Amino acid sequence: MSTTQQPRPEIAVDGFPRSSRWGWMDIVSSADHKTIAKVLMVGSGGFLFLAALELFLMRLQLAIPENTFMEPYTFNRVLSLFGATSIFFFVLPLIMGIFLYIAPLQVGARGTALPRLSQIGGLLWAAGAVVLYSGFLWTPSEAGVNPLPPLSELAFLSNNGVDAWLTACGFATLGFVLISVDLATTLQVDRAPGMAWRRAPIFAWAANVGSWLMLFIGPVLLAAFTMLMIDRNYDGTFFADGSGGAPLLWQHLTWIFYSGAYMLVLIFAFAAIAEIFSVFSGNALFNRNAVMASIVAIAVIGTLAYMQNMYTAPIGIGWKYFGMLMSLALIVPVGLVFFNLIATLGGGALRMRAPVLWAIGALVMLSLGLAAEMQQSLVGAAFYLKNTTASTAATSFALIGGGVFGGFAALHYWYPKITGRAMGEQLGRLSFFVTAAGTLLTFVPLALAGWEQDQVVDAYKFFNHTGVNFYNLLSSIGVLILLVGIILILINAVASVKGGARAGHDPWGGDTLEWFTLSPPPVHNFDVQPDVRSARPLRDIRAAIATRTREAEERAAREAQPVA
Amino acid sequence: MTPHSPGTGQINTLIWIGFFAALIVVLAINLGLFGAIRRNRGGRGRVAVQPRGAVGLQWRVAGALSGFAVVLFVLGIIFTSNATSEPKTTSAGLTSYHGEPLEGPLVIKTTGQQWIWRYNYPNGAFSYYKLVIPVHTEIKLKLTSTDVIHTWNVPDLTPKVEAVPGKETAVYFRADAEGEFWGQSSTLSGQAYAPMRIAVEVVSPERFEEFITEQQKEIREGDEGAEKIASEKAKEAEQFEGGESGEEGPAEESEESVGEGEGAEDSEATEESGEGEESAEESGESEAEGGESAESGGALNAEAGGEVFAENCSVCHGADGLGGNGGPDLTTMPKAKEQAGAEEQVTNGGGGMPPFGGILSEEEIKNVAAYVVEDIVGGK
Repeated sequence: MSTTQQPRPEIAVDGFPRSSRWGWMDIVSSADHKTIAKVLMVGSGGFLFLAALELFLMRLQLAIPENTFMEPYTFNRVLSLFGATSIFFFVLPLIMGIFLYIAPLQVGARGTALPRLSQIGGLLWAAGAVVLYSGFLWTPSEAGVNPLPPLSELAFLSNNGVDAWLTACGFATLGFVLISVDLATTLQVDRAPGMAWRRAPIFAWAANVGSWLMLFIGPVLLAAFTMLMIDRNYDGTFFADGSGGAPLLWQHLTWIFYSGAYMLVLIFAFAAIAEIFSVFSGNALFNRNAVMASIVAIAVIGTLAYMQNMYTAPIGIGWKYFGMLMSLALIVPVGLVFFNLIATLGGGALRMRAPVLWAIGALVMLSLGLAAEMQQSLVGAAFYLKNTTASTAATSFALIGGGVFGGFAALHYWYPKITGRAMGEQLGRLSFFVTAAGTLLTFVPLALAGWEQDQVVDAYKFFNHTGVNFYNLLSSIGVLILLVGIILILINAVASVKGGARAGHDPWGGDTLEWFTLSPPPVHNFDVQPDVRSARPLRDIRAAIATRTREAEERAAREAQPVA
Repeated sequence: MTPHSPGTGQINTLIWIGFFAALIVVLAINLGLFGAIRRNRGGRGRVAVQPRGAVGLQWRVAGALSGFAVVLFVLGIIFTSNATSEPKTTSAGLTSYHGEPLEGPLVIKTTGQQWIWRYNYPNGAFSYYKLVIPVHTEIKLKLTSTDVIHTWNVPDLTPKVEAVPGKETAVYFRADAEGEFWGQSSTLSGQAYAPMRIAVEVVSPERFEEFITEQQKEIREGDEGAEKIASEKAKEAEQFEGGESGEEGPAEESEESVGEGEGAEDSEATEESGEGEESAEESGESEAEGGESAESGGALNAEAGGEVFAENCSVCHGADGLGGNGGPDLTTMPKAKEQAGAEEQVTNGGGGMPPFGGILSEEEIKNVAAYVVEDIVGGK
């Protein structure tokens, strides 16, 4: 060991030292992808809580038959708010945020290629959130989760609620599109030397596919929103029947977006689980080419399958069969992904830490939801099950599985990198079991109510003597448990910022480049961009460090021996 | 659901097929996952040794999954096309209607409105909320809407079909058994969407003919009664206000009233049918509304309120206000006992009733409240 230390040159600093705590202005004016992503992630956590609260309020109204807890228009407003919040202000920003933070790090980039675009995107998203939740200044939308015209036209809903809803979600979507432009460009041009796509992490590949997917579906939704705004405010007739318009056009456009967004959630979840399973079992992803191809297939086929949401609409039966074909075709790539994720565990040594628990929970929920969606993609079955609580249950299992469980798996996994501290392990496990129990208890009774008694969705009350009283009561109790679970996970996330165990730069023994830099990473991400020689670059770096350390020690030992 | 029509029987079978397919998928994934976890847990110095994955394995898995998907697809097509095919009338069903043989399905024009369903039978009869059909007979429902998108849904008898304004959609079915079947509108259509229910009464063909005849009689009587009131009022108007138009000429307001519809679209949209009485009635309705508001001046006019009631309120509260299809008996409602309370309830709604503040003018609300207080509740 050296006994003298080189004197470090002092660098004179002009002006006042920067405070270590960031002010609002620093956050707003930052074009660092990590700051923008943190805004998205923290925001989505807050909106998750609000969405869970809105779900709880709705289920309180639906706990007993013919309840008078809420007026019909109040219920419709909470429903519309819940729809916007859960998609545009929880699931999508969480996914885009984690993609934006982690993917550039994973490919060894020093920053994103078009940082100002991401900055504008983040600000637009925040503006959308403000518009939606300023609803107390006007009346919130009463048009439901997807505001179908003609109900959402001015003739039927004349207050400003629908306009505010469209503006808010439109801003958010535009924000996502801009972030996707930046992300897709970064992942195309800023990868570290040697990192061909066959060597890039699966999560970075998913971020790439997801960005391109958002680039296609985002503008479609924005077009629909713009047309409805014109209809409502400038005497347009895009969706007005009788004047040359077509109400059905809205359904086509919005379902393209919602189907694509659904696939985005699946892609994100599968990729995050792939990373977690491979790190915590010590194996590489079983067949990464198959998984990469499946992710692309899911994005493309899943979006083409959008007409599975229009089985009861007056489109030709041929289109409905096409929708069914595409939905059933999804069985192949999704099944391959499940197969390869499970096969990754084979021969490994699985460490059951919190990220793994959440990942397993995600796969279980996804299996329930996607299997039920498969049943409802059969046209005849959907003639009965569409717009029932069974359909809600299927979608919720899949989106909660991917968004909540997959999202929190990713959060537990990358939290040490983002904050430099680990999330609480025990609280992580507790919150997992509570959330899982809550999810099952909420949605399994709803699935049964929908299948047995055709209980419809979006209704502010259900009637006595229809045989669903017990199911609804169980479901409402389940939502309470789900809310508690979500509160626990959020407490864990917030409290661990200051109170979590300190983590180094590679606490899990990961394989990919984001674990090469400090936790949290400096503004410029990497001091040195390493050469990438394989799909597991950090493993190579660790091996190289071990080899050179051993060689240096052997040399030092040889040179220290006294000359005989 | 208990299928009572060939189509819904096919739907039910397909749901079960889908269920077992889903069960296979769930079991395969979860057993595989938990089996792999159990056999590959770390700890006790276990080192990860990954078996090599051959590409051939992926193709075999993909092949199996494709086969599974193809089987489901074929079954889906078979059962769905069976479910949407037209089930013919059997010998036990309605074979002749009004003396003429019935060739093809019995066509009933079904209109969704906020927030009730209206059925127009051939030859002029119509009813609200409760559809009466003959058993063992092929029925074709021609669905449309006068305002927003509604979804027709009677799970035991028919698949769900959307009723889209400006389009005509159709659903074919044949009820296999007599009885009462419940349905529920399935697309969010506004405030009173949740109580927008459907009742289908399946009766014998003879009883069906009786029902049609009774409906036609009641409608005729209602029209005549309304004409009488209207012509009396026209006479009064000529006497007192002089020069006020007698626009009521062909006004055919029936006491089997028309449902409420928001926006100006409902008069135009239902013009497509060839049924003369209905289209005349619709235009009569808009004329009558114009005439009525011209006549009732500042004072409360319970008779004008009676017309408003017949058009907007009797749908739910019954023609005599004693309750009927979803609305309660007004004589039992405390708010209906005095003018201010009745006005408030009509304007703001509440308790499941939609607000009419934006639909009826203030004058109309005052008049209908007066009608309720004086003629329905007063003295009872």
